[in-house]
Amino acid sequence: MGNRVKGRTKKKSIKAAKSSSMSSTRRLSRMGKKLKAGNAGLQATFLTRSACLKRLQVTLKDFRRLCILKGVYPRTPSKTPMNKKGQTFYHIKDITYIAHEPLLESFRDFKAYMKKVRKAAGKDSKDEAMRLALNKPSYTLHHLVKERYPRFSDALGDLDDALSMVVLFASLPGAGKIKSDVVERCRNLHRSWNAYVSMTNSMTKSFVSVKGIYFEAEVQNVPIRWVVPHAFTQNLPKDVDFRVMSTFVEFYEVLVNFVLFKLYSGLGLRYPVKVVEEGKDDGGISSLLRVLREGAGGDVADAIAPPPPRTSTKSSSSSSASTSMLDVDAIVGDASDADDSDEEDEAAPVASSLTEALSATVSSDGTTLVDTAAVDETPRASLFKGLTFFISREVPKHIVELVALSYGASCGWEGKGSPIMAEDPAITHFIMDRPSLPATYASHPKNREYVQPQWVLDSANFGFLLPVSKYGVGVAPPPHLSPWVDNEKEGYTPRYAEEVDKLRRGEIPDEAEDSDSDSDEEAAPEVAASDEDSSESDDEDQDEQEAEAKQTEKKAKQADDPKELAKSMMSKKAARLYGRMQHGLDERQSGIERLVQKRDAIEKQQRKDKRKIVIISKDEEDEIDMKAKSGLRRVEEKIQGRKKDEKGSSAQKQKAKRLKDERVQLNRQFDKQIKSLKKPKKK
Amino acid sequence: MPKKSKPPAPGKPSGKPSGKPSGKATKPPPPPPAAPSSESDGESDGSESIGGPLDDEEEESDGALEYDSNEEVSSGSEAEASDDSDDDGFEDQGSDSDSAGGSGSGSDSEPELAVVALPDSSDLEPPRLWSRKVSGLSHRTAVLSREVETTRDLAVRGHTQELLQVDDLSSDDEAGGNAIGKVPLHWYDEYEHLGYRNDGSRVERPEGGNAIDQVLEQTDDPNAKYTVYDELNGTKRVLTPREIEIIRRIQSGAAPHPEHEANPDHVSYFSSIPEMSGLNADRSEPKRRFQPSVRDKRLVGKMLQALKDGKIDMDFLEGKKKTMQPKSAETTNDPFLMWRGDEEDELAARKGPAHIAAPKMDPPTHAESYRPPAEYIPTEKELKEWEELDPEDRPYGHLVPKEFPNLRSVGAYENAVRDRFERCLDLYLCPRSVKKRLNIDPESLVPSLPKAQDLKPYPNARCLKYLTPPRPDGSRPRVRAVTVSPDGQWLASGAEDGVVRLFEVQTGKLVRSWSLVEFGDAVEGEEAPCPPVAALEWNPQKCVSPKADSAAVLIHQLSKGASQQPFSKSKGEVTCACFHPLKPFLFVASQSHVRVYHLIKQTLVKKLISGAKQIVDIQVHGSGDHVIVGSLDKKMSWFDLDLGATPYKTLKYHEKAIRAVAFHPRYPLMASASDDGNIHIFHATVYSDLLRNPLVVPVKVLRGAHDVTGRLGALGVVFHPRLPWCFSCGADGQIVCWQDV
Repeated sequence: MGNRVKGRTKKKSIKAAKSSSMSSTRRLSRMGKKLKAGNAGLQATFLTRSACLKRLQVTLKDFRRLCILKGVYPRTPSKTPMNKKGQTFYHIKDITYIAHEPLLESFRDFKAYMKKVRKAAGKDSKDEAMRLALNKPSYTLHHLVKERYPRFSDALGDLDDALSMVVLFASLPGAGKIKSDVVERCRNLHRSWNAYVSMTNSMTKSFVSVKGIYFEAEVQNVPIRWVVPHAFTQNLPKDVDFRVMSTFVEFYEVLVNFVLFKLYSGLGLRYPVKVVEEGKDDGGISSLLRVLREGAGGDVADAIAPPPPRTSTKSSSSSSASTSMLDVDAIVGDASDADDSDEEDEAAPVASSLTEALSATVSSDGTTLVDTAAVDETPRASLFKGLTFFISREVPKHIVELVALSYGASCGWEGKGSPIMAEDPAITHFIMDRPSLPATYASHPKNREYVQPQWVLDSANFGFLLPVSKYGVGVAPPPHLSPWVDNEKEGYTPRYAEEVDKLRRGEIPDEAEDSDSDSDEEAAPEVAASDEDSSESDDEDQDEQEAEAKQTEKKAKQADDPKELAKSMMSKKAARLYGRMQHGLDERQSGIERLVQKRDAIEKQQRKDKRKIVIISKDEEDEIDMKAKSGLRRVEEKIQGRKKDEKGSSAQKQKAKRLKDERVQLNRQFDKQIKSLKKPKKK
Repeated sequence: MPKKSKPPAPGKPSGKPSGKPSGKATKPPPPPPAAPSSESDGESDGSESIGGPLDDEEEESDGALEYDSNEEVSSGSEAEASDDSDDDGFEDQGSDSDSAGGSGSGSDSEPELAVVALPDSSDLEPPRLWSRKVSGLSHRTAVLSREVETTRDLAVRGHTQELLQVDDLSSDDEAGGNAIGKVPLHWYDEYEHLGYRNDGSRVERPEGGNAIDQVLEQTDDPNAKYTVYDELNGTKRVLTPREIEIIRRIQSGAAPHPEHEANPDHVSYFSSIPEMSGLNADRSEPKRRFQPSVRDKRLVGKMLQALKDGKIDMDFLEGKKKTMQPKSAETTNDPFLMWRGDEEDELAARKGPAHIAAPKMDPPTHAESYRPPAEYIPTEKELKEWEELDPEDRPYGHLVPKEFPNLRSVGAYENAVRDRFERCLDLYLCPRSVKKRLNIDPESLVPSLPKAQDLKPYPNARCLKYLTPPRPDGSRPRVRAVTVSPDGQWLASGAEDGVVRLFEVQTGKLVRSWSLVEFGDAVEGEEAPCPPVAALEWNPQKCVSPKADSAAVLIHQLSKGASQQPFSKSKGEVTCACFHPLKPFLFVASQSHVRVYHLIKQTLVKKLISGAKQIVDIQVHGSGDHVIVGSLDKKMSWFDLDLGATPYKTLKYHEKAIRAVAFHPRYPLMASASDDGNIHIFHATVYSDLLRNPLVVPVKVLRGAHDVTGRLGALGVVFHPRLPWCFSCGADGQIVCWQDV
């Protein structure tokens, strides 16, 4: 490497530096003598960044790229001398690792090549430049994938960042510093990944955040979380270094590609998927799945790579493949059971073709893929079983489609490539995000729900079909809760989560309770309000007094607590640690308390607002009236329609029951609204 | 090349008009076939050689010493006659010269003939001009120069040799001249001759003549101007016009040869105009032009064969592919089955530092939702707080929770790229290290102590109050000191009003009171002259007054009724003192140290360093080996005298300054009173076994034992000498008896 210090013996390795070539006796004889500097400790194990550059003979730019591609990162030495604080240290082994990387050589080649090109360009010799362009040196990165992730599970474990990055690049404009071919490849990867997730029903969580849409899928028992940015033009800040991002994406592309290959080959499918039909392709998952089906119907057996050998530790991919196929079977079967006879004809082709395709796969490679015993009916795969969603054009299709397909629904959408039209009677849920229902939709079949997209995600997260009343068209939907938050662990459960829990347990939704308790609470808040008015002036004093009183109470509580007594006997060190831990706990507790207080205040305010005298014009009243009535009518019609076709299947009975419940609920709501409208007038 | 020739008339031009030679050509007869070749014995170019014609006048001029007019005309290529010793060589080249003569005769009619006429001088015989056509030089004008050679040794030689030379640059040997070689001429200065010729004859020195003769001669001679003296041969020579011309040209810096053409006429050998009557003008197109190329046919055949064999494909032919080499996995990033499931060992074989996986990004919380619950939306106050925070510490990064009415109103997140970029930076720039998270239950840090119930009895309940009579305004004076009689029957208190009161312990009855002002000299109290009573002790054997300098400590001998002053010098401000229960030791506490003196030996035994800033009280355990020290900085230090000078244990549990500490004389109890109004009761067992540490267990906090008034709380605490009771006094003017219930 050429940066050996003169007069210092050459170190062959770190080990050699530590226990040189001396024998034990000789070493013993040297014991107690002064050690040579730089043979052990920080100097022998770590290099600063500038030392790395010097040793590798590369520029900072190349070093950065190597670090990113190779996955080398600085480490924190256990002990850092004071004069070296604030420096970045790389482990010497990591740097040796880079030094032996063939990529380093190809970087140098490229540098030499660029010199030639520049020279040719300077001489204005076009032919020479063209010839050089043909012989442009290239490099590959797959050896790095294997090196960094020797096991497939390792690769899956690090897929979070890779997927998020690839998805982000798929949504960026392919211009300027971002190459359009990179963007194109990223798009394909994203699509293939989505197709895999929806095929295998491995989606577990989905969440619309302001930051983007978060998804989580469980692949081979590894949870993988990724963010999809909202489908708008992204803001590209000027201080973001896209060279760094491009280097990352360069590696992640390869990683995701290989992971997908492995996953697809586990399913017995050909990868990469080539979408040939230009006209029909809408860039969505469904069209890709269709291509896959067609591909599977053909010469899959020839195309697919041999399935990997089964290992006892890992859940073999072949079993997952069979599972997914059987899931599909189940979906289709149930769909045909549940749906009406006329609907079935419409719905069947969507799913049955998939089944056929996949069963063709099974038959072609039957011995390895079919495992009839392992029928694993995961609840998430059957959640939307038998439902047909139609996605209106204002709804971000890529979200809803992915979630719907992952949980077993079939999908149609407004636009090219859709298997079903908006008028299709098979549609059970019309996903829509408009202020009101357009008049043209009146001609649509009546037996469908119009819901907002949040209903799909919330139902998927909570694991059962939520009542659609709260997600109706033009209604402000309930809070959208993050599925990653463990409310119990967190110590705070938002109201809506409580409601959903009640619903899950089969209790009556809280709104009835609210209406019941309304009358009881009527008096109390007024008193409270009057209190508040009077005590505004000396609020602060009261607060202080309260605080003091609380403190004294606390103390009194502590008085004879043996724990408190024991605490006084703690050592200083333990006391500090204990204090710190308690501080953290207290902070958390205070955060929760703050939330609770805020919630209470908000609810109080809402109740107050309800009770306030509101002058509602006759028109408005009528409008509300009509809305409620139309809702009722719709439900009734639906029930009637159902009744006609009822064959006595249990699923339908359940559905009917649900609808009935909804009707009752709506009735109650209607009554309440009427009541609330009439009340203020009396006043 | 010095040629001895008669100079021609210099005024005459060297070139004559071409018409002239035709007239003159008749004059000289063509040389006889045999004659001309007579002297040209040297090598001669056969094709061009023209034999030098010789006149019959040769002989006639032979004898003359004057300029001989023997002229010879030789062709341009004729070189020289090097050897003229050979006289009879005339016939040798007869045929040659004959042919030349023949050609010469035939050449008369040639129009291209160039004639050079030498100037004829009146004195001299006009030189004969020979003009010849030189065959082979079609476009060239041959300039024939006639050399006139004058020889004085014609007699010796028999005939004059005339040489026609074209090339002046050719180096000739001196023909018939001085042959001494290149030696300095002055070697011959002594002699009459100048040298020798080839045949051995002398070259005579010319007669000098006098100057007049010379001048005359010069004036006579019209060619004097052009005459040069040849030192070697001792002859004079007239320059030929050509030579003069050469000299002129050299002087003027032009090319020396007059023949040189500076600007020759341009001859276009290759013209752009196609010649209609060229060699190939009327040739027809060859057949092969109309037939398919054999080479192409072969090439196509090869390609077809390669296509059939599969060596190439259409993509390659159309240029879509650059190479037909199969893209192996080594050269492309195309995916293949990388993981086969048998990689476990591979990982184990890795060397170097263990990989530290980057922590995953935090999952989104409720607050990051597009419709968060209302309580997660920050109020203005919270927003302000966040703004003041460092951007890194803000709770949701760049995001401020916001509620959107519906999904369609959610726009792009402006920091999506930045967030990802920051993650990238973290991944490759952030130093990583494994930190063990302390995953312990905080409660496990709290020591487990024996239950207080098991350590009974200890004072735990307020049982009796000893009332000091109130002042006229209703307040009671602060009670600063309290003490119990050794039999436990009486309790004495010292208050700020300077009154010592005696109570009966059992009944709480105020038996007697002494005003120290009234008594003047206190018997039992200290600081007699003025109230308040700061300390009180039954049967005191010592007395401490901090401000009293060297007399700060006084030892009283009650039996004798005498006092003594142990220290002659003050050791800092003494705050309190006490005796060892068994040994003659005196403990004296200054601000932060406790000094132990041997009273008999009168030496300092030990100096205990408490680490406290202001010691207020000191108590010695009944065994005498343990000392507790209370200080104003809330600390209570436990000293084991056997262990060392530093405290065995320092306890800090009071919220305010400690005012008093106490050991029970019989029960393993310990107490401390503090300004926070609390009294802490400890179980303190001291084992006789030296190896066992004393057991100190807090058993009871008498909370709110005394009300805090004027920042002062409990001021004193003392145990009952026999029972597990304790008495405390405080700034609220109360004296309380605490008993075990």
